[in-house]
Amino acid sequence: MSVARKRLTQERAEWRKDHPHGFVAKFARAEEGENKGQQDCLKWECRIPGKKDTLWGDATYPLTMEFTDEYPGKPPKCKFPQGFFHPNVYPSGTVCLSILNEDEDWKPSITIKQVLLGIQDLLDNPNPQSPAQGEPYMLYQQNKEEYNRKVKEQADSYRNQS
Amino acid sequence: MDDDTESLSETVPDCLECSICFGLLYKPTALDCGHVFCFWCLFRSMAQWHASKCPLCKRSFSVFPRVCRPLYMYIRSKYPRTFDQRRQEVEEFERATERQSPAEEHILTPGSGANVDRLPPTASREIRDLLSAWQGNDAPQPPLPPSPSRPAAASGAEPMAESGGGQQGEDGAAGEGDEAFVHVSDEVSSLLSPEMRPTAVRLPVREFVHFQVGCDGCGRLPIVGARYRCRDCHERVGYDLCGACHRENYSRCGLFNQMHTSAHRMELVQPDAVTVLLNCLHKCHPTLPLAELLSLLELQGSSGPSTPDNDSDNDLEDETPERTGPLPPLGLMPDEQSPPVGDDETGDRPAPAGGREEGRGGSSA
Repeated sequence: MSVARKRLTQERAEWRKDHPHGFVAKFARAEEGENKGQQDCLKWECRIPGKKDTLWGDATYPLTMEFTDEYPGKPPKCKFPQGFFHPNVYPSGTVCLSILNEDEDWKPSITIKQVLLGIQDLLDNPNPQSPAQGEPYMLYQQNKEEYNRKVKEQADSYRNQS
Repeated sequence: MDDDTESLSETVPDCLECSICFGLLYKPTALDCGHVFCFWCLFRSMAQWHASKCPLCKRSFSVFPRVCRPLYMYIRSKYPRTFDQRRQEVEEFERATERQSPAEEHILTPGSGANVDRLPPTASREIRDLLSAWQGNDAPQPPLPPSPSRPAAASGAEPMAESGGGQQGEDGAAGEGDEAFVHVSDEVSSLLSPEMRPTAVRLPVREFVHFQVGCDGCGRLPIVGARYRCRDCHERVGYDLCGACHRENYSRCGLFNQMHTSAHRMELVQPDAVTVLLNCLHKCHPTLPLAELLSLLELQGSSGPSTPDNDSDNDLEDETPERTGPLPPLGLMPDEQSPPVGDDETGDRPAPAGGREEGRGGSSA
């Protein structure tokens, strides 16, 4: 078993032992191909709850993590659904966060739990230094009211879903 | 699937877990910054073109350290079951990838060329305490004979000078003189654009980077300057020395368990066309990161450009482009560790994708 797979198996075991309330993180099942329906440890399906008492609270947001065989030398790619409304999320859904960037703060010692907590924190604390999507960034800077409305609307849509 | 991940009743302290694989440190190697990793975990994280960075603190280093003998012995003696399980895992990995880490007998023999005698003083307090308490008690320490010829060879981390690093130009010089240049064949030069040629063909030997090839003497990766290869080591990975180690007639065993002896013959390596081309491109575009040099190389080589298949949005998007183009003969793969360039917007720079060729010296005959 490769280092990546071994480490991910271990991460999953650790997660099962203990993880923060409201979060989900598990191996995805292959959607197609020979291994359809089988678990694939290089892809994880997660859910991140918004922090209580924020506009993001009361809903959980789906996130996928994609790993390569170079993990943990390289960070996983973390994606919300396409079009997710947040200043630091690219239009494709990819999260832009320094701990997920190999050239910045990624370290192989960062656990999946830490990544998920980091992303949860980012939801209500966007980083205006690293805009990744035009509209939410502009609204966040210039029209907080409308920004908040959109965030709320998104939270509502995910609350109904989950 | 695998039920062997249980901890087997041995509780390994956090400081003895590798922060890359999260397993018990196996054949531990320590960097000068004090961070300790498994032999393979560290090697696999090293850059093959530029100096490497510590996976934890990002401090630059260019020498692959040897296995820390006292720490290896401590772990083996204190956590025999977990150690054994790790050994099996690594052996399986080595069989599958046809390579080897230093054999235990070489790790245990002082001066074999496969180990160092101590942890760097920068190592964490926890590890040093564990080790010193143990060495005081139940560990009969073999006397340490003075290392034969190169005491400093083991783990020094002088920053790799991009240009030369103390190598002497006369190694492999075509002629004695002020400066020796690498021979750039017509074949290679025909791949360069006319305006690049005058710069590219004046490649000083002492600056030449032997992509993916490390020195089995001092551990420097990659070798910069002259490179010598053993004609008699039959291991797939080959046995290479940099100019400085060759001059000192370094002849201990290799870093990857090559059974090199002083009776073996070393010869100066004439770099292959791909590596020469890569160096030419680097000379013309000194600031380009390796991944971009490699894509240039694909462009210069007859094969067409690889087209990153981005999805629709490309607003501020950064999706890692897949390297789909055909690879040059060496099995060159991009490697990161390039200095950050330009505006360092988080995640806004294409990172090289694709696996790294991990074996050194892919060009073994």
